[in-house]
Amino acid sequence: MNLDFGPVLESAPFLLQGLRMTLFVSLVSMSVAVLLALPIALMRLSAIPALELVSAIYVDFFRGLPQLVFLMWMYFGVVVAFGLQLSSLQAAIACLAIQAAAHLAEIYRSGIEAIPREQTEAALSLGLTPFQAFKDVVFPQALRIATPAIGNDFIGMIKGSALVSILGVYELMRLAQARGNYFFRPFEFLTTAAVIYVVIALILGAVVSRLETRLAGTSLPEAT
Amino acid sequence: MPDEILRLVNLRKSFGDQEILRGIDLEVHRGETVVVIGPSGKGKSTLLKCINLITVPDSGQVLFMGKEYAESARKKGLGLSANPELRFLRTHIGLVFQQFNLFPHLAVLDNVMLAPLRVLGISRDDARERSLKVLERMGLAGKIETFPSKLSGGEQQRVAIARALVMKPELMLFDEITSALDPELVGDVVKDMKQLAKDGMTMIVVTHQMSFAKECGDRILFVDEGLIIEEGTPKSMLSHPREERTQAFLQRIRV
Repeated sequence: MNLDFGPVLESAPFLLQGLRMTLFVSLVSMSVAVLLALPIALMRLSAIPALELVSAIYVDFFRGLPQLVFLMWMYFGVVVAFGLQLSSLQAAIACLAIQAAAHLAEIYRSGIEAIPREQTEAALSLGLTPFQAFKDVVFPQALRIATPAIGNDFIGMIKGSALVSILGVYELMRLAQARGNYFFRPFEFLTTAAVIYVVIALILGAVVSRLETRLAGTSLPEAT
Repeated sequence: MPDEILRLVNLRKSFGDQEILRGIDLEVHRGETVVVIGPSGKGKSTLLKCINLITVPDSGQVLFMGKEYAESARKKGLGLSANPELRFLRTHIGLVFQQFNLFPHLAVLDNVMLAPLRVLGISRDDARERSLKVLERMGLAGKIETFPSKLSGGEQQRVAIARALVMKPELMLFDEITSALDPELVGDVVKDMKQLAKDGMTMIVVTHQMSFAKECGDRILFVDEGLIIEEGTPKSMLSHPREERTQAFLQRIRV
């Protein structure tokens, strides 16, 4: 077997462009998901049965749905059936965000539930409104607990974003495959893509674990 | 009665089928220090939380400065909405907890500043100045940038007192605030409470610190099984308790 990574080097600008798209898709999807997850988590915690149910169905449905199936269903099914004006990029971001939000909502929920009731009581007894107590006291602490898990979800998002190549989004995976076929060098290109994914995951993993130690330094109240 | 600040009428509260408060009647007058003693888990904390309606009593009235609040709390449920009446009540009643319940993500100054900033609607500078004054008075000026986890238990509790005092409450509630402290740290916190009592603050103090009760208490209430079993001046209560249960309890805590 003769290996030739020359074409890979030659294609570096394409691969970089693909990497940029991968990061763009992941970042935008994650940003949307981080916001979308909050109302879902709050509905679950609302103690209003109808809202809890909606939230539970959302979370269970999208966590149970395979990503690939969701992407194909959305882009080749929903978009066509309803005649939506949705580009493959938009469909990809929508799918990734909707699914990540289901998982993030659970992360938020467990973070919020980890904050002792007494924190809310202390805030209310000072005259804060329930909303202020949540915004200024409970949520910042919950977010701190949730940050490492959110970071890990972001790593998962980057890895999962390779799937959107199936919709024709020109991200890293898609371009590696296309260039590999063009040069008849799929092994070299796909190996390169694999290594890039792993390196990104390693770097972000290191960032997350540093964040984890830093956050662990500040203590949280003991549940009583 | 002149200068009545708080009146509780037939306050009742159950959790599940457990009756924690079984009809509490109490009047507190301005400047008074009322000490509440009694066995643990028999309704003293619930009583305090029912006064600022963090816990809503099932029935009975909470009159603060002549106005009734419990009914409105019952109607609007447990604080899901921003009931302005309840906020008024809570702003004017300070509560200090056994477990401090400082906000661990905020430094000392921010812990104290949060409520003035959010509740009183004053500027950040004014809130800061006001908070610094209270912290200074309590000898905590050197700790304003410190996070609660880096403070001793005694310091944490004194920050919690400062956090309540900064709102300039008319009434302070203390819920066994020395119980979670190491013995050598109790003294400072008790000293702060004594100072407050001497400054004329109206206080309801749940405590086992008999030195405080003797020195500062105008009245002592003995609470057991959700009822005020006996009340009287420190002198009469501590030396000649009438009720058997009070006698037994005082015997136990003296040993």
